[in-house]
Amino acid sequence: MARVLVVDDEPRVVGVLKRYLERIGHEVATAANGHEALAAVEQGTIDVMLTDINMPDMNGIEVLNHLRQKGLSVAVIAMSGGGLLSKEMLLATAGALGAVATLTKPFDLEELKTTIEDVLRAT
Amino acid sequence: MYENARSALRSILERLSPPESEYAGLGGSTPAPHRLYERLLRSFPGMAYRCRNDSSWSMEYASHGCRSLLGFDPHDLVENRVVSFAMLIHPDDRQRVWDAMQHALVTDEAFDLTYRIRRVDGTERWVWDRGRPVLGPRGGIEALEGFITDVTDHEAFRARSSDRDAQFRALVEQSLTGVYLIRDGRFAYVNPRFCRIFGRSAEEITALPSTLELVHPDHRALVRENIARRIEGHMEEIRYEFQALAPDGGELVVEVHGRRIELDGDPAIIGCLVDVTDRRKAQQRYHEAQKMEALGQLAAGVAHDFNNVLAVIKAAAQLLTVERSDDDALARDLADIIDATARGVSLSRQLTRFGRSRQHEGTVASLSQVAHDLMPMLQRLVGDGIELNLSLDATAATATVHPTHAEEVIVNLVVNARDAMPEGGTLGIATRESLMDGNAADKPPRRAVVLEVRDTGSGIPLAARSRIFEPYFTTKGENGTGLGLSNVWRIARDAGGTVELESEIGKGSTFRVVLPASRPEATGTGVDVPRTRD
Repeated sequence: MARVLVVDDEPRVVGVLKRYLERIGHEVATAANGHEALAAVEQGTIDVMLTDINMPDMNGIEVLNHLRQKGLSVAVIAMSGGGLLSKEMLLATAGALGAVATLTKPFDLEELKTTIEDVLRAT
Repeated sequence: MYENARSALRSILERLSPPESEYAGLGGSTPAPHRLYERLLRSFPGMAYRCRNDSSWSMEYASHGCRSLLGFDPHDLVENRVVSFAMLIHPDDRQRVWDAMQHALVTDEAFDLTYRIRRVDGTERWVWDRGRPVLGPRGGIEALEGFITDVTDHEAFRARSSDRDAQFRALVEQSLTGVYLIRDGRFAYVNPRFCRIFGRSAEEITALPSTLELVHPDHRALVRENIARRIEGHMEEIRYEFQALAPDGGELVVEVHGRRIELDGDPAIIGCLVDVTDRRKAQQRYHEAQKMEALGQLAAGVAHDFNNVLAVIKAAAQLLTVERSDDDALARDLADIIDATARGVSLSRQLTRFGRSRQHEGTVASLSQVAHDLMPMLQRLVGDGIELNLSLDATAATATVHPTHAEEVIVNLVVNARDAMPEGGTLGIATRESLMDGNAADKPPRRAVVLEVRDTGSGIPLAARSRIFEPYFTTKGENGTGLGLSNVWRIARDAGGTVELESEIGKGSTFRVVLPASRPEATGTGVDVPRTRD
């Protein structure tokens, strides 16, 4: 179906999402931070990147900025559980920076599934 | 002795300035029998003296007037045999007398002083002391000679002292701090400012059976103890704050600075008092805000981690539900787990709301505050090539806009400005207070708060300027949604304001959001309304 990159500093989140996405037929790569995510995207094998916003080292906002600067084209779905800034604010920012869809943690797996389908259809 | 008396008398005669001819035969070079001097001196209502310029004012000679003036025999006073003259000067006047004398000696002038003395019977009298320094053969100060008269009942003195009384009365009565005198646990005197602070008349206050009647019950023990410590002499001076009883039953915090004095031989307390309620409240608000800020950060951090945990639990449970769809018992348990995560989400939302409630309550926002709080994120948003330049007026008024919307306005304008400078540049964010035209021609201008976002980018072509706020209009091709600026415009309009655009090709653009100031709160700190005077 699609090649999905799951980016989150929380390994359990990555683990459960990977299992689910593979079960519904996607090919899944994972990254634990922004640096790994950028490296994966640069290989050009990713269709959809599902990334957390709050991450140490390089956060999701910075990942989006780097993608823009490097002119890398990948459909980004941003997810956030909030933090110092509200989830809404973080996701609005991600939206302003080019994320095509956003998910608020914790979300339904069904919601994730349809979001990815929508994104794939649009691109 | 005789020479001293003669010399003292000569000083007196010079100072007392009656027509010289009348006494020409007494002073000066003509020798006269010493009895004449003594008799003359005895007939004067006062004391002639000669003393040394030392801290005791050690007497070398004192005339017989000493008895009626001070109640001491001259013999007691001379050479400080029983008492030094300095000890007889009122303690509060000693320094002043010393200073005035030393000044006179430096300038070789005659002195002319009024001060209080204490007689042997303890009574206090006002005296008039006139004299001059006597220079020795080598020019040094040999002694002081003069004449001291009791002027307490003197009409001219009373007139002078009543002038001085008037000055002091004005000083106290017009003072901007509350001034009080406590005797026997009651207010013996309070000035008008004191009355205004407590909203009662001076008659009411001085009629109170105890000073503690003006103190909040919770603080009475503290105030009682502080007064007692001074009265008993454990402490001369004290400065402290306590809660008092406001006339309207509201909060009143006062700071007092009082000291113990002696009044007619009894201990008393004088002090001044300032209403510090507003200052205290502002400090409390500040501490409260800081506490809430810290709690908010904590709550937001907890909510974030909590949401991650919930995300794992919920996703795993949902995954299992799909994988083990044949197991009904398991499906029921998993449904419970998923249901529990929903409650967890609700909890985490409450936690987040709690963290933000105080800062972002209601629909009033300080654009300066919002911009300031967004700084870390804006910094990341614009990246390295762009210099962020902030000029926020923290005192600018608040606007009637939801803080989330204010955030949206700022983020959208900043993203826009950043995109206008692909090669980098300077991005300025400024807030300030200004005026905007009233909404009708006959209405006066209103206070407004202005948010400006400036870039040094390419500028916006004229053709695009008229459409720039239209929904779905974008110059960014596929990168733009065309919703950013239209949202900014919508939010500004909803808040009763406008968005202005200034742009110059090649120089850059400035977006200016002008929002009417929200009405100040009743306890607003921005405008200090002076109290009316009595």
